[in-house]
Amino acid sequence: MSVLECVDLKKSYGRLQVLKGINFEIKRGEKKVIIGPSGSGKSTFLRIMGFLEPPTEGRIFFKGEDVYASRLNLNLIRSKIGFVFQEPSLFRHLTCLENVKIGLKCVLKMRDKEATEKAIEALKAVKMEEWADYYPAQLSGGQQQRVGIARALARDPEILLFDEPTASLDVELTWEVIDVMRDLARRGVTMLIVTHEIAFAKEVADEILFMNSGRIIESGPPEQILTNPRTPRVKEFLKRLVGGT
Amino acid sequence: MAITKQLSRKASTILEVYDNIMRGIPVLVIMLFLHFGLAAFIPIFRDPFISTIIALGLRSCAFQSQIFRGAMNSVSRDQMLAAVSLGMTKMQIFRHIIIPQAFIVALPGLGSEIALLIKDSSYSFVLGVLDLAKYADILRAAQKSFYPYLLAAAIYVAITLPIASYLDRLGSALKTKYGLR
Ligand SMILES: Nc1ncnc2c1ncn2[C@@H]1O[C@H](COP(=O)(O)OP(=O)(O)O)[C@@H](O)[C@H]1O
Ligand SMILES: [Mg+2]
Repeated sequence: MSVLECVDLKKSYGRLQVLKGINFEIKRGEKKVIIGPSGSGKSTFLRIMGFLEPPTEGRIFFKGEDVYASRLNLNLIRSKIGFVFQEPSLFRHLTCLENVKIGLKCVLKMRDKEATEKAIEALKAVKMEEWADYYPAQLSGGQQQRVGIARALARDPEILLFDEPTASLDVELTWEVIDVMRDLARRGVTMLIVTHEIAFAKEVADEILFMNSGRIIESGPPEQILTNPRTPRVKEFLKRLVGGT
Repeated sequence: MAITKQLSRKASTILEVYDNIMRGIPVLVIMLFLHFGLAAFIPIFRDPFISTIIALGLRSCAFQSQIFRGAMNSVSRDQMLAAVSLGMTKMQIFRHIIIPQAFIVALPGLGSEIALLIKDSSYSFVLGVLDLAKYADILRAAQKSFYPYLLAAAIYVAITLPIASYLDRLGSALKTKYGLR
């Protein structure tokens, strides 16, 4: 069953057209990875698929329902999607535990005890349960990202969206976040991931999509995209990515 | 939805105009205006004490709303987007994320505002309120000495300094603890 799908999705900011007609679908249990140069519209695409902002044109389906056409309650849909951002986005005045609990209590209306249990479980999944009572400022960037993942995960979302979760981390901190994501992938969580950790993408992705100036110009299984891309643009990008790091 | 947005934009424009006017007028002028001007129409302002309180209150509101507005803008966009992604409503984001952080950021500003408020209360002697400054003035006349002024100054410092410096220190301690800017 399709979890998220979009048809001819377009987005403009003023005169600047950032997304120029994207067709995309992800089914339950699938893992898809988006790569592409910076400024190509990956973050914008993810924000729109997470219903954080509306598209300018096109239709988006959540579990088969056209969300904007049938005027579904956006907050209800958002509560079924987990979003992990590039920048650490934990609430600074709340402990790790409270960060994970707040959505469960405010949005899912869980009682305190139930929310605490659920939050601890999610913190365990990212190996951060020992840090439950610490504030974000006391944690490393990698630890903050893991708590961010726990916050997204605690609601048992239909899908997790990751926007370059390791891009703002030091190299040594990258692996601990990637480890957690690999774990989730093994557990069968549906994931749409923007990342340039190519080894990770190769390992978990069912499909890699290459985005270039607002379009998906190539997509396919990792072996094909990474070793034998059709378009010169992708070939060049990969060469630089591997050569550069 | 659109209507509430329009209303709130209108309300914030009105607030901003109010702020700018209030911050431009010396508090003494507001006091005189209330007590000697408006009192003809609104009898309650015949009471100099009430005129003083209202004048200080009107001006302080303008300053405080300015302080809070700045503090609320300091809450990072990343956190708000994260809150939206959890499915929280605007009201919930305001109450659980923005207000608590803005309050911490605003603490030092509030401290100096409170100090200013206490100091400016001394203007009330112009309207004949027997406040600390007026009292010192009476003593000075009776004793023909300037010590009462010194004493009054010391008392003002003794009241305002601890409040302002406490809020300032509390503010920076909390900011460090939570890593806020
Ligand atoms: N809120 C916005 N307002 C205006 N322009 C934006 C906004 N968000 C993104 N853009 C622009 O859209 C383009 C794509 O940005 P983004 O989606 O962040 O790309 P990527 O994540 O692939 O680096 C960029 O040119 C960026 O400046
Ligand atoms: Mg991006």
